[in-house]
Amino acid sequence: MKNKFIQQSLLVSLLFIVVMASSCSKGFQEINKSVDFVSDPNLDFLLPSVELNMLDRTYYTQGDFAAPLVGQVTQGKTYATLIAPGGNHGYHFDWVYQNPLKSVADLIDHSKTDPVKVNYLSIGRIIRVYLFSLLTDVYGDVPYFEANQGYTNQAYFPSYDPQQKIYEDMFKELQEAGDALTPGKTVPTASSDIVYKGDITKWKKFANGMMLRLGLRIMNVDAVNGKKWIAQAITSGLPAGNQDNFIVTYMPSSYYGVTQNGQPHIFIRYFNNYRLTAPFVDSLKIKNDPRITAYCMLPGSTSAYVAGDKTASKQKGYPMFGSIAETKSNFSVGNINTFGRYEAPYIHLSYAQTQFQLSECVVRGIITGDAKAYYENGVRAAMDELKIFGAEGVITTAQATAYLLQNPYNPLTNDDALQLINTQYWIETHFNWYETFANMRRSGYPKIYNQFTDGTVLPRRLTYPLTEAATNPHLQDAIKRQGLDVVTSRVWWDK
Amino acid sequence: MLKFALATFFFGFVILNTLLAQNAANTNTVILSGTVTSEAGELLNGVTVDVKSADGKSITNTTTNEKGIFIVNNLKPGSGYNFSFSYVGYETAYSRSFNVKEGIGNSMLIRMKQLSSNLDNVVVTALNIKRNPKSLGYSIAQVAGSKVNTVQTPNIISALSGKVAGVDVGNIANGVAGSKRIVIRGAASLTGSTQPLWVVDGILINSSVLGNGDAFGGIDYGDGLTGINPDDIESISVLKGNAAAALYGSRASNGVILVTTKSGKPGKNKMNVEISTSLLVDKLNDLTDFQKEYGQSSLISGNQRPVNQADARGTDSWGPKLDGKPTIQFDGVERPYSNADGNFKSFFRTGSTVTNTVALSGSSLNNNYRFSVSDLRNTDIVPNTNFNRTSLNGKVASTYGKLETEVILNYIYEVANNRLYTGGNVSNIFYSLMNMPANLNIATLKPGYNPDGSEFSYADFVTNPYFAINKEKETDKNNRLTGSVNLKYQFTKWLSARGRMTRDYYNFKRYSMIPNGVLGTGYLQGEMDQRTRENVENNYEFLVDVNPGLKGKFGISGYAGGNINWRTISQTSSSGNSFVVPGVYTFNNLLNKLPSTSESRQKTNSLFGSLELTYNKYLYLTFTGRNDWFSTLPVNNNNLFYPSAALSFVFSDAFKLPSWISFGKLRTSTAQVSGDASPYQLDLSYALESIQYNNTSLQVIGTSNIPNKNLKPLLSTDYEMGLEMDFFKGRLGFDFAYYNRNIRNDIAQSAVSSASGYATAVLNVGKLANNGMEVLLKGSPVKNNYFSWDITATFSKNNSKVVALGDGVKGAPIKLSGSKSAQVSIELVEGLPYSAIFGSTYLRDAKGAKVFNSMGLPIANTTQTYLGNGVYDKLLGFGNTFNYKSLSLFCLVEGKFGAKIYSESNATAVGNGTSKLTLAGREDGIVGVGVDQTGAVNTVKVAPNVLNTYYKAVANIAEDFIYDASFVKLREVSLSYKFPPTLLHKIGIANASVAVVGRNMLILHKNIDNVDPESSVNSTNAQGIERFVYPSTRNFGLSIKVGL
Repeated sequence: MKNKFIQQSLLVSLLFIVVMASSCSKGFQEINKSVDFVSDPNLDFLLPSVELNMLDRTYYTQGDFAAPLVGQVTQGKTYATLIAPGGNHGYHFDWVYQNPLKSVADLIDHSKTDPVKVNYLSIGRIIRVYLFSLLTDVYGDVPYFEANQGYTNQAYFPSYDPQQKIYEDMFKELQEAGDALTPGKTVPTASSDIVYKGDITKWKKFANGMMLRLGLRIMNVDAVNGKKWIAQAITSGLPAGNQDNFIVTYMPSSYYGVTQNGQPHIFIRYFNNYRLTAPFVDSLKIKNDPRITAYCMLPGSTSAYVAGDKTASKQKGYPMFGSIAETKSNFSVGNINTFGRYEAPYIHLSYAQTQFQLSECVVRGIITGDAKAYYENGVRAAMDELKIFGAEGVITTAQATAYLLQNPYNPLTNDDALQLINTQYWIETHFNWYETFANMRRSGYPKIYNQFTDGTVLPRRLTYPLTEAATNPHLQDAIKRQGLDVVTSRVWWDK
Repeated sequence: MLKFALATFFFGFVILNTLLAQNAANTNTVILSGTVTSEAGELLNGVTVDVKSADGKSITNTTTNEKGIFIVNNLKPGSGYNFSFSYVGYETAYSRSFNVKEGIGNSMLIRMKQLSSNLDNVVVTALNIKRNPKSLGYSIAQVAGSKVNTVQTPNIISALSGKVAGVDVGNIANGVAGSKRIVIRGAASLTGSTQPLWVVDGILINSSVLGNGDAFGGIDYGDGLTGINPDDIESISVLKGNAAAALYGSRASNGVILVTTKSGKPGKNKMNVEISTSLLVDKLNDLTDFQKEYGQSSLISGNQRPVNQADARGTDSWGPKLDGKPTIQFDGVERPYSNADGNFKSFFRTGSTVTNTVALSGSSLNNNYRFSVSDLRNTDIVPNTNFNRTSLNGKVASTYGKLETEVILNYIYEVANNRLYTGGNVSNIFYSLMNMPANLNIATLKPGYNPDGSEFSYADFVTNPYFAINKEKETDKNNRLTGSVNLKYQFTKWLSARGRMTRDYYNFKRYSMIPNGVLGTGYLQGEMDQRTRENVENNYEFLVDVNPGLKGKFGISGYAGGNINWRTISQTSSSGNSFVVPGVYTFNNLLNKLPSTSESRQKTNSLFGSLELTYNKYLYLTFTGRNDWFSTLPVNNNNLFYPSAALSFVFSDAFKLPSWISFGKLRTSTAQVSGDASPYQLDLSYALESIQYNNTSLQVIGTSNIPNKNLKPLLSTDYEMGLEMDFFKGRLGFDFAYYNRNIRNDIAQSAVSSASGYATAVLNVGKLANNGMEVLLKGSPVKNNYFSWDITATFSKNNSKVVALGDGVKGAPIKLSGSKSAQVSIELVEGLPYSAIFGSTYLRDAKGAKVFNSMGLPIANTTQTYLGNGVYDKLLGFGNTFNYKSLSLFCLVEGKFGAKIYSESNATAVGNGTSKLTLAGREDGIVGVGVDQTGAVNTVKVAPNVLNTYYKAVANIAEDFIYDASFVKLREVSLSYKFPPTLLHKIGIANASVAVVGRNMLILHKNIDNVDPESSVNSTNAQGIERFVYPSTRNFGLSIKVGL
């Protein structure tokens, strides 16, 4: 009796153990497959999120640092505070790598092996160049060739590449990707390509616009290549009008997220804090610029972001750095009906910009042509493009003509010409402050830092995120090449 | 032949004896009756009463009935008898040389003491297997139920504070229903959970925090442990080391807390009724001591009183000396420029917690049961905030021949209203209260909103506390059902099988709403967050137990079994912002709806076994082994076997020791425990954004953490040694333990370069070491029939060290958290203790003098420096119990040492001029002591009108706001009185006691201004930051227990 029990119990437990052991991992793969996520991406869902995320949704770096340093928006921080390394200087770095570049690298990975998807691939490559140009222009040397391979190659600490090498590759990419755009192959749908609605000829123009922008950027250090790529861009076809502008339109709602333009947050949320600066407001006011009412208004309240007086003559800019005793209510903020909306569109590259660049190219003898005509095209386009910001952004042809009559293009010297052209560029890139910052450093205009005598000068870059110093040993290579991680070190093209 | 002769002789002897006894009985005998009760006065049913003659001859034995009464017949008057009383769970009681008198009226009252010493007790060990503590080769601490249900706390974790050596309890300042932190022998994971596994009556309970805030703000939604009713607790076992916990597998790598609830007491057909009531009153303990001499002014040139409404807004207290002159305030009203005082007193109210429990229990021959119903009502010190819990518990155990069954079912319903936002600034009422300039009277902020319902406040981005409590709404409800079915079949005396199914289910719903008209938040048209979380954890366990007993001096026993653990969490969120129709706070009325759902599933299969070898009842060797298969790890690398071995040597039983040594045991053990990752960390996956773009779905890579196809289980290896000794019959004793625990291959979210596209990568890189010692000292300096004094002191020291964070990675620090000011971060750094605080410091010259800039302001170093660690390394508990007759006084002093805390509250108070430290220089300006940037002595005076720039610069440097977080508190006091049973029995009450109790009555020692040192912003791994959390409270009240 007793033995039988032992036998039975042993048998039962043995059986149990055997059954358990043999089936211990049964179905585990299925269990560990998330039901909320999918393993394979849909390129038509990836592309629009890439395009929306090309703009850093936060204001931490652009609104808080780039905007005051280019003299357009301030929250009253001192120059010393703004140029101190660390803080949110590096937020943009984290944003671009971890959001749009991560997705675009993935878009490229998932389209490169399929010849039918060559247009997706090319669009991905062009956007990738745009994003890297933002990074390298702001910081200098950045991880490029090994970047965004954290999952695919376990590249947790990518090497920093010299800016010159990055530029070389960006030109190559723009050329190759532009050439590879093929009519007849699958194009993104109008709803997935929220910028150009799948129109690959526009993508090609955008690639060439970038080529012109980057070509001009390196003219001071590498005139040979600069000239070559500018010529190439012109040959391949530049944006021909505002219809070719690279504009991301955002959604009308107060939700502060992926479908919203995050930059106006500084005015909408911090209505008592951020102000347009004196150099910006004055540059419009002095020249009777009709754009002043599109850009500016006086705050209507201290307890909410509401419209106040929009009369041009009453607009007033706050000092560029530090704060003053006068109440902030007297100073202009962004117009609530144009730029001051979460759904405000964002212009990444415009026809006006290329016209100003061509005008400069003529002045500097890089190409031949009519500098004045390019300049005037640029000004008219820059005024016309504001209509995308709504009724209060509409500037008539007559207003533009009047402005040009009142402020004619008749420079006495090349420097005068470059000042005129690049000051227009500075105004036109309002809210696109990384580009404003890069172009100010490259061209030296407008000379808004001339007013300071206490050592306040235009910084030459922003500093890397502190986490890079803590995690990535390769950062030291970049510092060895381009100097200390401070705002006075110059990037390669900035000589 | 010899056998027969002996048998006959023996038989004859027995008969003779019986006849003699009969004879004696017939001549002049008396009857003695007695009552046996517990110390608490409970009548004990079934106590074995052994009666011996003076010379040690056994006379008779009997048992007590359900009224605790026993009767012994046939005793000879004038003779002395020795009585002994034995009962399971109680110390054997004796009444020696009891003289029986002539006639009637021979009676005795015996009060038996419940076993508290661990000498002959049983302890509940892993898998709810009861063991003799003598046999355990590892440390296990028992806490009696009375130690947690006399002075009650809504979260059971708090009740353990200071009571168990090596257990660090964090009384996080996030409200009574908030999550608390408990860490056993130091954090055992870099970025994973460091909280122990909670097992209630064998049911594994999910105690993960349902939402945490941090320095940037948030609401703590608790950890579900508020559902455990202290009145139901029989005892708590704390399994500290791996060896103790190895049988629970991966979940036990942080230790295990086993809660055993009360069962029906043995007794025949009598129903026991226990009623207990506890009332605790919470009183604000205002530790703030701010300057009350200078008033509010937001003028850039400080030092002047506001002249218009705009200047009168703000938290800056850089105005002139308060002089009582009429001065405009934020609302446009002129009031005297003088100290308002009493704002805290007028805002906070007296809180209270009332708990009532009624329990019915009883047993018959083959059944025992206990049912209880409990209700807790808490009102917070913040108006409109409260927490209620209702629970129903049932436990029925039956025996059907060889089959034993036990069914447990608990239902808990909890409702919290208006849990408060802590940390951050907007929405945090404490931020608002702590930053109020001295001349503002909080009454002027009432009712918090304008006639149209919109908020008004005294400063931008500062919530009006009355708006928060009157207009904003938070409510959450937790429905929890836990239960188990246990079947045990006793095949033979030595062979049994056990099957068990346990389930922990809860449905947690939360709703929070900020109405339109709010100021300072991202959504001025209001926002709403509504979520439901459904949690299921099922365990199916099978176990075969073999226990043949001793064979001569040798004993062998063991068990083997398997377990399937299945966990799912599904969540739905229907959140969004901007109410379309003001005043209608529903999801459908949102302009932006952001619904989302998520589901997480994981399964662990396990086989385990244990083998115990005994020699001569003083040497015990136990081996266990367990193999886990994890669904969250790659199939080819998803399992690991880990063993444990433990040796216990009761040398006091092995050798003849001097009589003053009553007990001595040496123990040592070593064990491994494995662990897995969270689900879905192996492959890249894509998520869809909760919002569409013009009807186009938006897809992104769903993680900022790089998945890893090559993960393997982590491994925690420890060893411990311990010595337990009792002297002078238990009057003095100690328990000493040394332990050393190493975690390797810890699955951590390691920091990587952003340029990789991600912020972290999940890697098997972590190495973490903890070692330390624990001492438990027990003593009874005085012990006599009327008075006793018992001391229990615990001390522990833990040394933690982050050994490695990566292989090729050069150990990039892992940032756990940061302060809102960005001046401090909590990091894991190779070579440093856990939760290292890094913060900004003053720039100093070679001699250590502070460097000041041309404006006379201090300069900060650009890099952050290690300034200490955020977890305590030395813990002290000192408990004293005084018993005098029926009175008992218990007081517990708790001290924690060795941690630092960054106080953002104090930094902010300096930055805005409310701190007393900012009084220096108000009238004459200030010259910083140090050097200028050329190295010369600093002579630049910061004038009074720009003094704010000086103090704002100071506030932006972390150094001065890193405080020693050590403290000593009078944690618990209780004075209880047990009513004499003789009196109670007359009115039909079995036992009754009443206690006056207090918690956190005094802070005996602290080194931090204005706040309580236990003001951590949350209960996560990242400790060391304080920022505008709950103020401290003192609690006192009454506890009444009645048994029928």
